[in-house]
Amino acid sequence: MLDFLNLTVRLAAPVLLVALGGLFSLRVNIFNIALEGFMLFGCFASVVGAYLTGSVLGGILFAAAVSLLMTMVYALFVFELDVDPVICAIAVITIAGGLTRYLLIPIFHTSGRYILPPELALPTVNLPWLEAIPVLGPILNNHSILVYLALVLPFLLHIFLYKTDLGLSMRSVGLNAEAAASAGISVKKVRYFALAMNGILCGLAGAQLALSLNLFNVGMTNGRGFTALAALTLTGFEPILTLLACLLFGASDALVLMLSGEGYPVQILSMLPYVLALVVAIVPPIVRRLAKNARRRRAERTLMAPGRECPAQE
Amino acid sequence: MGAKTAALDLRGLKHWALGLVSPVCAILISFIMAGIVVVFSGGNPLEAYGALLRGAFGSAAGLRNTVRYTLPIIMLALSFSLCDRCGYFNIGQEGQMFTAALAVAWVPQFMGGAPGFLQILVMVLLGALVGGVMSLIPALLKFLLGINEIVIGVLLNYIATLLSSYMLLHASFADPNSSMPMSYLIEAALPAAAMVGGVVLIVLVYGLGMQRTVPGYELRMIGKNPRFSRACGLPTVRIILIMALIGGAFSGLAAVGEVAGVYHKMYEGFAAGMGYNGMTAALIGKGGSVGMVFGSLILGALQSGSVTLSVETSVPAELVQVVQGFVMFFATVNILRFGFRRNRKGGN
Repeated sequence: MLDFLNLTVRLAAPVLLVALGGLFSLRVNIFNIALEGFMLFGCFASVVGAYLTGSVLGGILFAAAVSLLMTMVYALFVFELDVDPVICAIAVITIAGGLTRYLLIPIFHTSGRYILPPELALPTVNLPWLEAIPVLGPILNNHSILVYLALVLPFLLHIFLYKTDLGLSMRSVGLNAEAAASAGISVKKVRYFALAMNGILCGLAGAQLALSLNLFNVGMTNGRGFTALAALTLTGFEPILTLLACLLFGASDALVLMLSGEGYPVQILSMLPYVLALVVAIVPPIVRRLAKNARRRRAERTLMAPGRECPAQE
Repeated sequence: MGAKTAALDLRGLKHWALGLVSPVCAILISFIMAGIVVVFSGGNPLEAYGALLRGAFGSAAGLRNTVRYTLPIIMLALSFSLCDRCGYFNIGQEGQMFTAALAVAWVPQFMGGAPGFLQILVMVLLGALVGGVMSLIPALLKFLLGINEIVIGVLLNYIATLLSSYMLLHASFADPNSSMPMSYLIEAALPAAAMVGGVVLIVLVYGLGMQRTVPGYELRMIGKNPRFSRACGLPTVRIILIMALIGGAFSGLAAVGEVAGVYHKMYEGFAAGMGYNGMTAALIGKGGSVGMVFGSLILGALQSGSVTLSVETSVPAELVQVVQGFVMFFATVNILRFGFRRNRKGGN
């Protein structure tokens, strides 16, 4: 059980990092569905960076840099050239899939997948004082730095959004860009900043995904960007709630990994995260709609109650 | 009077030619960008593009292959632009294709003894129906509950892909003796002439219907301004849902063509990545049928030439995907409008 929860935390980390990246974009009202593409760039760049520099840190930094560069190109297209952000985002995903598949061949002379030497895998941190805590210790210990970053970041982000000037600017740009502009906020600068943060976090997510397994696999993000979007729509872009939602996805990933060794059909098991994301995206709006209808019926009943005048017709 | 119509025609022609500038530029820029990628990875882009061109158009077999790859892309482009006109972003085309193909592969199981043409007929109808229903799910969720159709569509794509992988291993039509997951051979084959004829017919009906008929007019109106068309008394939501159904049916038909007309069996991942092709072609054509066929032809030629590319040069065939991505990326930019806006700014 503790193993399972430990695995949950580890598998939730990449989704969480992507989701927090997407949160920046959604908070400034850019529905960035290209998360998947930026993360794939991050995966590939982390492996290339680690390979070229011979260090894990080099891989992480390179992933963040490449992903940042790509988001800036995307931002340039969306903000300066007025393109359709959705189609541009899908183009980014297509380019990410194509370029990483293509560049694997000239850089690593292999096709489909490249495995780094094991010493370039993301090292895990063992904290003796954490180990000593009964239940929490084994769950939270022995993760990589990026997992810890992912776990701390939602709280920092909460503080950033609600306690700092820049966070306030971001929220106001998201709620009403024109009003924010007339209040003297530079909407474009705030949006570029949000997309830059989005890029860096997607890069880190890619680094965690690729370097924790020390390999790059074509299309290894496997829809995590979209899962993150589903999680975000569930939580209404709240960082701390997003942490919980992503842990749920981490748990489903962990369940798939643990059960796949026990003779269940792999394909059906692998559907679990996607079905979960589907449920997460569909059920809350239905519940909201039902609640609204119930409220309206209740209000009608009160209005029509005996002893009350009916509202005059015409 | 005659002079006036001629002048009008000339203006229409000019408009049409100007509309061509931006997609052609986008395609050229994409090839240049992909060429830069090739140079940096130590290849020769001119050699690569020469091989692509030879492979796609250089021989009768190559040409046939180009047409074969172009047909499904045309269907997908029609599907995408039809839905796009109603404000429904049909990104679930791959899922629609996979589920429709499952239905097609299943048909010989329950009507194996029936004559071939009857089986084909059922395959076409069933494939279209299944594709349509798959496309209706995100559309219903969007227009009834306001859920983003892109997230749902993509998730359904993943689920449909996994489902088809599972079915190709365990369902009654799965061939247990093959090395990779695939269905049994489908005996009743869709003839190539029927496929070409069918696609030409659908393109004609689409192109003329959109411009010259009342439903086409209504559809364009909904695309431009759904609130206005509702105020005009159109059952907007119902029309949109019907269009989503038809759009999905088109993707389903693309899958029927692939499975029953080309491969004669369904195998794992046969439609992977095809959905983006249709979207790109629709984007190049900006919703017009001529431009869409042109865009599909370019993408089809890329795919058909990619075999020659990997055989004759050291440049890997994966380059094709890079070009496709760039085409999509640059086709989003309306170069003309951008130019005009800059001019206006300069004037002020």
